[in-house]
Amino acid sequence: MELRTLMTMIFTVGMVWGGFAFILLKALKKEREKKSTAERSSS
Amino acid sequence: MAEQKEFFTSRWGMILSVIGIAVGTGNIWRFSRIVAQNGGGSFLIPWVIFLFLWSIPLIIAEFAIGKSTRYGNIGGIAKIAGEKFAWMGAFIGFVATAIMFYYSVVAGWCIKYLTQGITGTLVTTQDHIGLWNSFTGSYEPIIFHVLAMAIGAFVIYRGVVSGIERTNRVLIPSLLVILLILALRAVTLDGAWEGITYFFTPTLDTLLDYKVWLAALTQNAWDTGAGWGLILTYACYARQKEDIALNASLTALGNNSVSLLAGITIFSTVFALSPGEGIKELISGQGSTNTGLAFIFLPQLFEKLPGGIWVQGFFSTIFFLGLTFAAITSLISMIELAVKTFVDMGLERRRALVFVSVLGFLFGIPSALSMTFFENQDWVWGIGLMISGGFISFAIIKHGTDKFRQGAVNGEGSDVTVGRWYNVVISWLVPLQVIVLIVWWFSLAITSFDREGWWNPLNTYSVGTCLLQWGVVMAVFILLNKQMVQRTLHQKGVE
Repeated sequence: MELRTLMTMIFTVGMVWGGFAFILLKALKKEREKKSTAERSSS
Repeated sequence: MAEQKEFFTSRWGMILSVIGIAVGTGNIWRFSRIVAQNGGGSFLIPWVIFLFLWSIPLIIAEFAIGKSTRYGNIGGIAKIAGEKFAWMGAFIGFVATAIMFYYSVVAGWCIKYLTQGITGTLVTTQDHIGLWNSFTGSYEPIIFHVLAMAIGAFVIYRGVVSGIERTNRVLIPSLLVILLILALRAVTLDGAWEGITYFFTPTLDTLLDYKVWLAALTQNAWDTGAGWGLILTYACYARQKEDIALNASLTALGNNSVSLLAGITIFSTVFALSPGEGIKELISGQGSTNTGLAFIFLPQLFEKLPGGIWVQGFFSTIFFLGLTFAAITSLISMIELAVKTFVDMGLERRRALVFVSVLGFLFGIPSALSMTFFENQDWVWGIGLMISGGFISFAIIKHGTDKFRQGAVNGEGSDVTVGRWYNVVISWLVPLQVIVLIVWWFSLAITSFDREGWWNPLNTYSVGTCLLQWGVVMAVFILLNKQMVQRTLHQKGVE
């Protein structure tokens, strides 16, 4: 495989699939934080 | 703020529903053809860049307008930009509704081909062009258009939670599983790697070609649902504690992730099963370009899959099942947009649904019967979407971009803070992209699509037909502006 192909693959897959996974993990973490804050305030 | 009765029950239910809007048939058939026509990997680089310069900023804007005002397009734009600009919201809503009229026909085609896959016709027929032409030349598309509208209307009838959210919770993960199965089969075919290599290989010539960049921007404008007013409608049902920036990014990245998966699948299949000739076919297309790829060329390729008729039948059926899911999840959002507009104006929800469904059925008939009419509508309202994006940007500028960012985007529930970069993108870069895109598509019409009759409003791909149809719609809404504002914002007892 040529270097330019590999670079484009890393860039595209990294930005799109990697970006999606990164944001999803961040959203999961924030969601957990929100839940635990809500539980603490209700108790 | 309009009083809202129903809300999405969870963040994930809402995100799956919004991804359902964005992921449509265009992710599967248009994306791959446009990548092939624009030099493979050379297209992917600007496609990723415009995801951040067009799609994500506009999706953030739609989420923020819907969630902060709780009104659909007319009320939402009127609240943000001022009441005298309510007609802009009506135009945004009309463009998406006009697309619904013919998109229901497309969803019907997908259902028809799903039935052809189940009965085995797709793998036993020798003449796929004949099969497609005899179907689209008959009255059958009307029957499947009615079926698609009925499915969409039934989902909306069930409501936001039991209808929209529950349907998307099932269909979007199912679509992903289907695409993964198809991708796994495709990439393990002999010769698939050639396709993947082509897909990811850029050339300097095409990377420096401005047309490739414009094609990438257009794909983002049409494919991600940004600027359509659909996400704005669903955002009206977001809970107050819901975040905007992360959810908007997840929507856009999720949509493009599906496109990428579909692209890898189609390029692998084409190069493995039709080496040499396949890429030419992918670029030129049969029948009506995009539809030719999905309904003629890919079924031809499925017949070449190793493993016999059962394997071929299985993969062609699940391909059209995935396509049907993608089409239906987008169609229901278009129906909801129109229904929400009338509900905002005081119409009872079920009456609004009956009205929109009958309207959708009647105005979809010309597209079901005539490919020329279908292509004209796709051209006029496809470009119209760019104006919609411009109107959303205008509304925010009128409101005060920084005030909008701090109040609506970074307001209650936000998990992350959107920085000042957003002001620059939404106030300058989005309007610039709108102008460039419209000038580009009109110049294509004048120099390439219809050199002789580009001014003629009766020609399918003319500048004249766009200006006439947009002009009539805008004039009507400007005249009705006061009444729309009165009914939407100042009527007592409106839901």
